[in-house]
Amino acid sequence: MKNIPERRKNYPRLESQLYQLASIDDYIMAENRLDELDRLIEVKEQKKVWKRTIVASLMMTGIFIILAIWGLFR
Amino acid sequence: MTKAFAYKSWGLALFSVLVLWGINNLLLGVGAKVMQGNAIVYSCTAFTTGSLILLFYAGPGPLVKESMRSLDTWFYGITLLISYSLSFVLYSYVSSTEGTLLQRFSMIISLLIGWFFLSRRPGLGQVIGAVLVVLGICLIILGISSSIRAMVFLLMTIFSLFLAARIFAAEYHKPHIQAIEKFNYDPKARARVVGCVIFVISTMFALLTFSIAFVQSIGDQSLLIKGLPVLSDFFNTGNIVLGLLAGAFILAPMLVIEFNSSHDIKTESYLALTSLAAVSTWFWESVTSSLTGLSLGSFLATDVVACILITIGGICVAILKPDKDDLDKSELGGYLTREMQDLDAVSETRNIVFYALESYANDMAETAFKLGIPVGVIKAVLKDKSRTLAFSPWILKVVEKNYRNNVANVDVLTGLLNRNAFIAELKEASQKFEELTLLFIDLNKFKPINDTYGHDAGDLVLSGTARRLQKLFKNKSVITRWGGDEFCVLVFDVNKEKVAKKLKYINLILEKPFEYNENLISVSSAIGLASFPEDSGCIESLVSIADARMYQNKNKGFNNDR
Repeated sequence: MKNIPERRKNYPRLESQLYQLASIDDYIMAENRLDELDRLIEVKEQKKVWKRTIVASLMMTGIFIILAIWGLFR
Repeated sequence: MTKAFAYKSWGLALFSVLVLWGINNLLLGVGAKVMQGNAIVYSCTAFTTGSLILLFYAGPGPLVKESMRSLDTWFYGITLLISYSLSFVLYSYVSSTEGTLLQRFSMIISLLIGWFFLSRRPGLGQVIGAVLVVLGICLIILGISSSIRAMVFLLMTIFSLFLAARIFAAEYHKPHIQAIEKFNYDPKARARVVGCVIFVISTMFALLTFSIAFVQSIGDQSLLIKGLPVLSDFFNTGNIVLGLLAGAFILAPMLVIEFNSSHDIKTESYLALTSLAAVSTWFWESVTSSLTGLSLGSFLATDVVACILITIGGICVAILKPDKDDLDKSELGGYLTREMQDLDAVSETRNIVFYALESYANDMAETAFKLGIPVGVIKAVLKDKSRTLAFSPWILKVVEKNYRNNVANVDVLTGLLNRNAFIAELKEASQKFEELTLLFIDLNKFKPINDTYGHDAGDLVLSGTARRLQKLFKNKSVITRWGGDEFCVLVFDVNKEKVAKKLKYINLILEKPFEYNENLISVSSAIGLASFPEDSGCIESLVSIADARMYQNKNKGFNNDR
């Protein structure tokens, strides 16, 4: 991908704002500046790992709760 | 560290030990004794919800990836698992009070590790405190049946080693340190890191606990190991619910504070504070005994004396200050820190100092001035035999900037910018200024000076020419020694014609003789001019054009561009 300065469809946002967005794929598609793209992809990666960790943690907690409820009716 | 910040850190650590540790031990006891549950299953569920709560509180953000991939995280998790497992085995040999007190041997181990490996020498008061703790531990061990004494001693030592290693791992946990330094103590960033660490622990803990329970349940029932879980323990509703709640409200803040305290007040002090855990557990158990139905049990006289000795000893170690190391005494603490883990920072510091010294002919005062630091800092780095001194993060930026400007980008002989730095300036200037004029200056008959009078004379001429050029072009210009006897001067916002009018004067100044060993040496110069954007819109070719014109002038025998 070519680094084309100033040729962008979106303005740079604060990292804290980016983490709040549901999806930043549209921004990544529209971004032409390599440094900004790198920042966006980093945010996407961090969010992905956080989501996976949360899901795994939720599943484990769910298993323990199911076992506890099962134990109640045994 | 400011006083207010230090008080806050100590307050939080004290709150953790007196309240959170006490309540956690109380709930552990309730789960095991009142609910007839298994302590390992309780801890397993607590870690799971602990990570969930912290990750939800912190939300998505930086350092998740780093925390999950960091070896520090896994080291912390493994040491925690081993220390937990060993504590359960230890409790199967001694009473819970004795077990809690014996675990304080970790404080002694941490003091020794800090002293031998981290240059954190304990003060006299701390040594006295440590002796009191050892006396208390000896009292307990002597009171134990001789048949199991050796085993208890071995378990206590290994457990303490792993507990101390775990707290040191928290102190030096890289992503956590990043959360502090890069994100300015952001509580959410710190909670996110700790959440990830607990997630790793909970996953390992759950897999290990399930495996043990499975093996225990399908194996020979006569070989069951007391204390280890069986599958039916996972259906103990009361114990699991207790664990889930404790994880969310007790364990999560407790581990966040453990990480914070190990960094802010250091491992030795934090472990010393945990000597209050026995007292706090007893307090919470006695206060809630009517509610929980836990019997307090009776204490042996030796246990009480040991408890008093260990608690007082622990308080001494925690409160009394460690011996100041040479760095603190010399008041260079603001400039340098002892870096035990980040060896790159140590290496970078040494490289900066050594290269700068080499550039300034080992002149310490000049080097210190150029780097913007006291001479004492350079002396301390040179004397640092342990190779642990590094520039403090805040001073490193300043030193790096000074090093770039005064050492890396500078021609050592003349003190002018070197070629790379000049090209960078040239490119930057082409974006800032509308007009630039470049003078390419070559000294005529310089080689015979070197051959006749020697290199010292040649160096004198070069550095003298550089000083004259600096006087001639004081403002809005950049000068470099392009190479050998060639100099370049870039003049901002002045057109070629204006500069050309002054060429005669420039030549006149440069031709003035230099005095060397009672000899007068003089050189003439040939100058080529090129301007941006008039001669070329491409900044890279500007030097080539000026160079070519200088040669034309030199060959024609003229000294100016016209």
